[in-house]
Amino acid sequence: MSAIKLKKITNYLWEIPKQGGMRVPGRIYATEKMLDSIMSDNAPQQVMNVAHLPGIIGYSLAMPDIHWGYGFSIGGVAAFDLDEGIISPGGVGYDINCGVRLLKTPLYRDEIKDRIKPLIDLLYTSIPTGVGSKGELRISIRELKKVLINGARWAVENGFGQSKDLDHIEENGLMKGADPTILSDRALERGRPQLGTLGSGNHFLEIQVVDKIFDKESANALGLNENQITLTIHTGSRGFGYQVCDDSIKKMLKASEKYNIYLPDKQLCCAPIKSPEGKEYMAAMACAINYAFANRQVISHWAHEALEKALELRPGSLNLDVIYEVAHNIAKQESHSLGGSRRKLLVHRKGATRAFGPGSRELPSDYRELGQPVLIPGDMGRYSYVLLGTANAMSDTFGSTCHGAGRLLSRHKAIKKAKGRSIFRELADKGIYVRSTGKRTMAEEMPEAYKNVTDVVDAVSGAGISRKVVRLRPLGTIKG
Amino acid sequence: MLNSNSHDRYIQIEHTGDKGIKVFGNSVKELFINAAYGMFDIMVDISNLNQNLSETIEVAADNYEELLVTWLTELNYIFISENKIFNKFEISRLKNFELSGIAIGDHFDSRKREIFSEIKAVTYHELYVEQKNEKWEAQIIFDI
Repeated sequence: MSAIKLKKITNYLWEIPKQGGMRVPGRIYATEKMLDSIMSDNAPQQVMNVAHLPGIIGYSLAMPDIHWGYGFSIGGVAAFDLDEGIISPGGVGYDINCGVRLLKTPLYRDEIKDRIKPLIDLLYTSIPTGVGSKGELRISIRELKKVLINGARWAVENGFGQSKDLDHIEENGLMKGADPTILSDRALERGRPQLGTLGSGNHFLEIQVVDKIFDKESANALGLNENQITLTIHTGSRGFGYQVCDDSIKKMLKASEKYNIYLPDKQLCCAPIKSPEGKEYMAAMACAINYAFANRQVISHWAHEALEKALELRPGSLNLDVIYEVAHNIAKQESHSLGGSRRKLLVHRKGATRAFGPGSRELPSDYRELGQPVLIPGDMGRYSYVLLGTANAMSDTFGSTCHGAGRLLSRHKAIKKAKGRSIFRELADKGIYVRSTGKRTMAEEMPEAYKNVTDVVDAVSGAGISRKVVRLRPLGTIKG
Repeated sequence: MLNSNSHDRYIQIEHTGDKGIKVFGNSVKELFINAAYGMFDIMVDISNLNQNLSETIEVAADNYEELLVTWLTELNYIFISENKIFNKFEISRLKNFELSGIAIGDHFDSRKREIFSEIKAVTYHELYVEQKNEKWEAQIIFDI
């Protein structure tokens, strides 16, 4: 149990007072009920570690799905001054631009409930999943570089999906400033065979039904009705992103020494934002961000095709709309109001989602009055949520909120707990059909290994940094 | 000689999000060998592996911690890029933070062997390499 003392700010917010070398206090969003598990691992210490980094503004923040990561905790948010501050690959993670896309279908539960099994089976054979999975797309290094510069736009230009999809992706599916010339051969080699693959671990593709509506008006604005079928894709930049991060960390360890930056944890290695090393990481990270945008666009297109085939519909006859796509492992330059004036900051979100409130210029015009849709997947057996960003998020968390349920059990403990049980059958009994490459993944990813996503969502909604719109219940899932 | 019991070579540590190992050795060489064994053992089933191929590995760094991460990263890269898994390691030279060694094993066949977890990366988080009395100990956390 951690010896760190917390100060209660509200029922949903707890502060770690500034101490030792911390430049700002730490702040953790959670209900009192969630604190025991949060304080039982090293994540709060990681919140304190991040508070040591130069140029940090306000607070070192953690969302209620906080758990022990490396460098930053998962659920960590930190903003830095562009002149005094740093950029750290450990504040983004290895799976750069891991994110979530939500698609709505014109189908309703009754039309599809007896066809879930063949549909999931077809999705499972159409979309490569699992450790080191390789895709159907065989692209040259030259073509890959175009992907890295153009992101989801590359995918649309090459026949995957439609250009209207781009309007509903964070950054419109294209992060500017990508420079493939600085990448290692290894990164390019790892990226080439994996475009259009889901990967392993907690990545998934899920068929869901709108199960509960919290805010009818907002649900209408998003085009979501009760019993409507949706599809969620959760994946990132695959081996390409891991290699970009790995290569960058080696350089950042040297840079931290060069710029004399004190690191409470080596994994927080970093460089000043405007230094050559900082700029180089930004340009490499942008490549991985674009890779992930293209990856989700390609998978989304294949899922669309599989859906039509499974339902024996004419290709192109089923209208599938992107509700939104969010990134939850990313660092971006953004303008925020601080003490009455607008300032450009670099915001790291590691296992945290942007949740911009109504009126933000970064939002597509059809969502500008509404606020940004935020997509929060839960575990395989429970729910996922669609939330909206709020004005409170803009003032309190640099426009950020949670990203998922957050792990509760280590993978080791989960496997022990799953011994002798069939997680596939347990989920089938709840009406959820799952296809996965590995039994062990199923054990590691079983529902009990995660916090209840409802608790996490109630905490961010209680704190006012997001508001609930609809709840989605899984019907079928493919997993790595 | 190496201990035959894998628990004498390494133990898995509890980590909520990822996986970590604590590794033991009578010498630095043995420590590095056991770390490589531990990494493959938590990643994939390496029991009864045919030892019919070997890879030569040469890595260098500025200190033992970085050398350990570099050595394991190199081995993981061979698995990722060439689909080879190993359960025997020999280190012929380890001096001035330069390591020369070989890894011995086989091609990975997913139809015959279960993969436990993909290691995205070997991290520097809470990493240490220490000499304790006459023995060596290290801790490594992998991003899963």
